[in-house]
Amino acid sequence: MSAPHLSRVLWSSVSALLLSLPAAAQSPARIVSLAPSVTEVLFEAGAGARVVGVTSYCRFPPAALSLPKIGGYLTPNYEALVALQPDLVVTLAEHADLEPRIRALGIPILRVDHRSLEGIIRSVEQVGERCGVATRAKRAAGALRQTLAAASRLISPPRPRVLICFGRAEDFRRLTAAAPGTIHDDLITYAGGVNALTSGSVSYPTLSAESVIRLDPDVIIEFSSGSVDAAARRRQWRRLDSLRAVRNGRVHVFTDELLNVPGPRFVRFAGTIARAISGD
Amino acid sequence: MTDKPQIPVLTHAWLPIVAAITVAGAIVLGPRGAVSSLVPDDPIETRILTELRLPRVTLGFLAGAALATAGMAFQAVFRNALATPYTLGVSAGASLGAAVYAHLGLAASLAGIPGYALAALSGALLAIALVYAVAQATYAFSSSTLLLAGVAISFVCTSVILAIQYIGDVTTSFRIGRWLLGGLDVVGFQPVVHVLPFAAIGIAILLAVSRDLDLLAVGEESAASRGVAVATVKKLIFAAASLMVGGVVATCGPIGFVGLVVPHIGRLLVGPGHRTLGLFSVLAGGTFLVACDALGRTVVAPVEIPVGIITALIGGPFFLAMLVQGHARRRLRGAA
Repeated sequence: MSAPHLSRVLWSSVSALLLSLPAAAQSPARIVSLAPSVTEVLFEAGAGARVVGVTSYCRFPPAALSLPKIGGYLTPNYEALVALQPDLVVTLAEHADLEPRIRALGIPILRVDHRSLEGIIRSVEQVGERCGVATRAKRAAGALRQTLAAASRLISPPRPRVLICFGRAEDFRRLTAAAPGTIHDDLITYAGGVNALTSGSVSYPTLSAESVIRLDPDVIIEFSSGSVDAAARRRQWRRLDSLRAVRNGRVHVFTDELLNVPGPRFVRFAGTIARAISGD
Repeated sequence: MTDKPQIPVLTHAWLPIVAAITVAGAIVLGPRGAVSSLVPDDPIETRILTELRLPRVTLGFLAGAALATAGMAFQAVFRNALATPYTLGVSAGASLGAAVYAHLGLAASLAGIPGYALAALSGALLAIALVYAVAQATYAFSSSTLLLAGVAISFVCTSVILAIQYIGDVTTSFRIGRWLLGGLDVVGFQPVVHVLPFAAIGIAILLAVSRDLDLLAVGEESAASRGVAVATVKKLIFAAASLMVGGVVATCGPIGFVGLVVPHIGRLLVGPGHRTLGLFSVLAGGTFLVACDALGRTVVAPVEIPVGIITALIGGPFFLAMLVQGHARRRLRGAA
């Protein structure tokens, strides 16, 4: 081997070592998201350009649509994951049982918690700190906190009793409501209401029409995803016209797809809920 | 017994050949049918091959072989065509263990074994012990009591799982749901090492008692009259098969259908003698599960279809066709 060649090889390996040490310790360059809400948070925090893989359910922001897919949200394809050579995988609590396998592949993990609105905001900061975009992420998190604060101020006491429900059949069977302690309860609270359900022993209990009538909430918020007609859903509630929320026209049906993804857009939705509750 | 060992070996030589081709195919098959792992000198492909695909195919073969052999043994002992490796509540017990683990919000591991696998194994062992205790109280370890106890324990475990999913938060439900899907998507050979002793010992015992299985399949009284210590042999078969299935389910989750259908296909193809049928179950069970998993891994890649869905989707129609064909053949023979 010639002398210049040898020195070039030496130099390149030394510089690679010097460059790789701080880079590895500081900010990941190839990030894979294991959940739609994580993808949203990564982009919100300003690390979107470094996301190299998302799940097949990640549809927002639009930039995520064109990114390589690593499979489902609970069923990632480990071969696809390895092929992307990520230096960070961001997970949720649901992935607790998958994490050992990702770790066994030598890929670092950042787990965030999207089970509360504060958790979502905090995850923006966590991602920012880990990815070296802390300033921008802090600003984004601050904006989200301001949105929540503004939502809370919209309503003056007494706070209305709100029932937040989803997934009911047309005849009001299998109506699922959110109990205290859930992220949907967070949404009610930040939007200036108080949960009509008081027991949190079951997170998402199924309520019969009878229980709904007994609860008689001031406001009913229904989340209904998929291709449903919000106005028609709202009209169905007239069948339960003994409810004060129905009589007073305080039933609100939301069909936005973002309601299935506990990301930054979900946090901002607290403003929409607050306006709905207060706008009567 | 007048069995002709040479003839089955010669007539069924196609089986190991098909098995070898399938396994080799599953190893090299990349996403969307590309033979990705044969790309030379690609460090990523090499990693995928050694750390992911080889362990996965090995685990699939072990699990399929174990489930099919256990199913065969249970069908013989209970003289019941609907018996599966899970008839005695092993799978429901394991699922309950995993569900309780998720509900407690735990995420730990012990000596490299993931916590959910340990929890599932404990659940399976508990179910086995309960069924055993109930059957022990009956005369000659009664088969019908075993079956009923197994079914009852399955129902109890399943409703507790449903209760846990109902009262739990979304995260718990998702974790339990994921576990119930089952799967062979492992990283590294450690899971294979965990399953290996269960599968190897179980299969060895069940193959060794093939003559007793032949006699038990005819009837317990006639088996006893031919010198089979019925209660003892049944306990041995029950323990070997259940522990084996418990070990498999703890790592792979409840993969259905292999244990039900592969032994039946074997009876149609190689006959009811358990010496040949046992070897068929090992080879065909392993091959079938590996093939189904390769399919689930590649058809809509990178999205994976859990193998349990594929086994029933492919195996069901295939088995129905075989049943009809076998029936038609018998009728022709009867007319001749």
